[in-house]
Amino acid sequence: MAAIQPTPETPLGPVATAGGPSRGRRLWSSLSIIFESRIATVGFLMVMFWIVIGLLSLVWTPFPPNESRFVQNLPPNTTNLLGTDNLGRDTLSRLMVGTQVVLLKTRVPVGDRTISLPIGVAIWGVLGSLTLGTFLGQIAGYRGGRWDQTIMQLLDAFVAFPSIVLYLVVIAALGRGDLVVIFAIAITGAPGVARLARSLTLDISTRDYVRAAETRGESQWYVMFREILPNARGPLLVDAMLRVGYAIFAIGTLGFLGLGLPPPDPDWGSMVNEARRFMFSTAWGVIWPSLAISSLVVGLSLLADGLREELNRYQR
Amino acid sequence: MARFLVRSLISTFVTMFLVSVLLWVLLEVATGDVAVKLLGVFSTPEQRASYRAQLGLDAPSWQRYLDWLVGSDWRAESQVGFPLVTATNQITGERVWWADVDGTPTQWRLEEGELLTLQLQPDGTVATTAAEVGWSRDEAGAEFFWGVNEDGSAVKWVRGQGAEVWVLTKGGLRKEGDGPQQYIPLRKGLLRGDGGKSLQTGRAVSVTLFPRLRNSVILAAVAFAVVMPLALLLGIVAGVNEGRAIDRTISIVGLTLTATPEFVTGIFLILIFGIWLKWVPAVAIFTSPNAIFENPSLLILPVLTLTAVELGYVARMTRASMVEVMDTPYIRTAIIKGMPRGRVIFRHAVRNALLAPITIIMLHVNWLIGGLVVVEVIFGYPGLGQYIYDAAIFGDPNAIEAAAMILVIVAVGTRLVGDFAYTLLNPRIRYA
Repeated sequence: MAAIQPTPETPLGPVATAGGPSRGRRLWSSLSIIFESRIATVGFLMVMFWIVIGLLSLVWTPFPPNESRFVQNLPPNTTNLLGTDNLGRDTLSRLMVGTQVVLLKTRVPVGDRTISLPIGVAIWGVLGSLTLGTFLGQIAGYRGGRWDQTIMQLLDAFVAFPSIVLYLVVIAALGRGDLVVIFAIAITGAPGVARLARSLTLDISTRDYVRAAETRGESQWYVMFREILPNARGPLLVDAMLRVGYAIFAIGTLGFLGLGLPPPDPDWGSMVNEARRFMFSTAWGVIWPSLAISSLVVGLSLLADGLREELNRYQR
Repeated sequence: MARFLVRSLISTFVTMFLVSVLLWVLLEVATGDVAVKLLGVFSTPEQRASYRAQLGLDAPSWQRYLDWLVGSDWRAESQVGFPLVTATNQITGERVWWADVDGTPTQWRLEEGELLTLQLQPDGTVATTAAEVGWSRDEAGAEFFWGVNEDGSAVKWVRGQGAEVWVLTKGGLRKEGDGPQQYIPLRKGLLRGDGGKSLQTGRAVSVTLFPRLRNSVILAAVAFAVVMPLALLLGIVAGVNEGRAIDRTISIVGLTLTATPEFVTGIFLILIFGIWLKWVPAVAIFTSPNAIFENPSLLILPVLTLTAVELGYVARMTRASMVEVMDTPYIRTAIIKGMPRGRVIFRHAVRNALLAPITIIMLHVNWLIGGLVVVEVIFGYPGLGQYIYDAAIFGDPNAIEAAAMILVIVAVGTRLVGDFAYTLLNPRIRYA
């Protein structure tokens, strides 16, 4: 039975098959599509810049990010390259560490200690919405009928509702915390993913290899997750990349509204929010984190945009 | 078409119902004790319990949801025994509940163990007399009376057992004897057009909500009127010149603007135009309810912020659709047969290229609302977004639910308008 494998059609690299090219080669062939497009390359470099900064901040920052040791609200100078904030903390160090919470680590309270998991809040959130959305979308698309109607009606109810308000309510209700933000991002992103997954499933389930799997009596779950899902991967991944951008956008906005990730560890939105009060005397405090958020989200959008263009050309 | 309309209406109601239940559950599960927020952390448990009872928060959750949806006067009426009516208070303009005793609006008060009747006179004054209504007797032999108190709640007094209640006044909490044993706060319910009282302000939700909605609609409408022509124009220009420098510039600038959060754009605009150049007001402080009409420059920065965020998105959609249309055989034919380029673009391409953006623009109103929340918070603009923000932070269920219902209507309504616009522009689509 295992001999019949779905024909790989996504350009993001074939499904794992025995005797195919090695893992490294396949990773490289997936990555190389980025460099086909100039836009994607620029985006990739912008994202990599922040990832490198974040990784660097794990081991080194110019000064401890949470320590008030300087004069408050300094403009950029030779000691503090980007100036200091309203509590006399080094802005550059805080900006660097701000990368971690969105991209690199998630803080989870266990008992009264806090442990850090790898991978940032934005990415976990998008993974959550990807999982939930794909699951619902595939059921709706593959089972059809009443399942489709019920799920889509439920999701429409969600979509009809501005996500920022949903964030506000969820966080106002459950309190601040990395897990709450992840939950909120996952929930608000899921309907969009589900719509995409549903349309992809509707399309793919007409293919011969799906018919073949059904004929040989595979279970519905097998068909959904082993036959359809791998072939819907490309568009879903590109969409997910855009969503990471939106998630960072949302985390920034929440931080700005005073509902972001819990202090004292810096996140960019909260930095803007704190510095905003001093904007009329010194503008540096709001400029740097604002630029950081924009550049990271712009980078991710460029990357996703370029990739989508390449994928479309590839499929045409 | 009629069937399509009916179906969308039903779907709207189902959506509203689902959203309201969802929000209710969320608020129910997670909001902390509202009494603590209202009375402060130094209030005692008895004070909180008494206050919660007065707000009707001691009733089970499903009961309160039903009250919110269809009103509580139904079940209170069977207890009180008189029809319950509302009369408008001529000073505050708010509706107050009265029991209709033989045509006279009546409330009751328990004072020193004696029941007093307050009768609303036609000239708006209240006459206080000793009550003639007798007490009823329950199985245990205690004498009780269900009436409407001066706050407009249906309450149950028990003779000789005036409960000690804590009443929140302007001067703080005051302890009162002669209190009722049980409260049912009266309300008409959302389905009959009453959103209930905001816990935060103590006033009816609609009193605050509608002026706020008006401000937001003005802001959004102005932003819409600025964004749409500009974005469509830029999108068409970029789409016609696909791949050239002007297309690249428009696309990249559009993408950057879209990917920049509203608060970042807003802050930069404040910095540049409000603080450095001092051209326009940096905040939108309303000194009177009609401040936008008296001083329209308050709107400039909020509108610019919304414009920046929306512009890129719509322009990109229009561009993509334009590029697709310009690639079709009929456009190629028109060009090859020697038709002037301007005519090809405006007579043939644009009409078809606008189909997709118009639906997307309508769906995008949701985003505009999200943007409104942030923009209103940045500029201190008293609109619906700020209202929701405040309500969500406070955990004010009536306010959140009422605002949410308005948002759902707006979102679903704009989607319907989008669908209609689509049928008008594209005669191939018919809704069965």
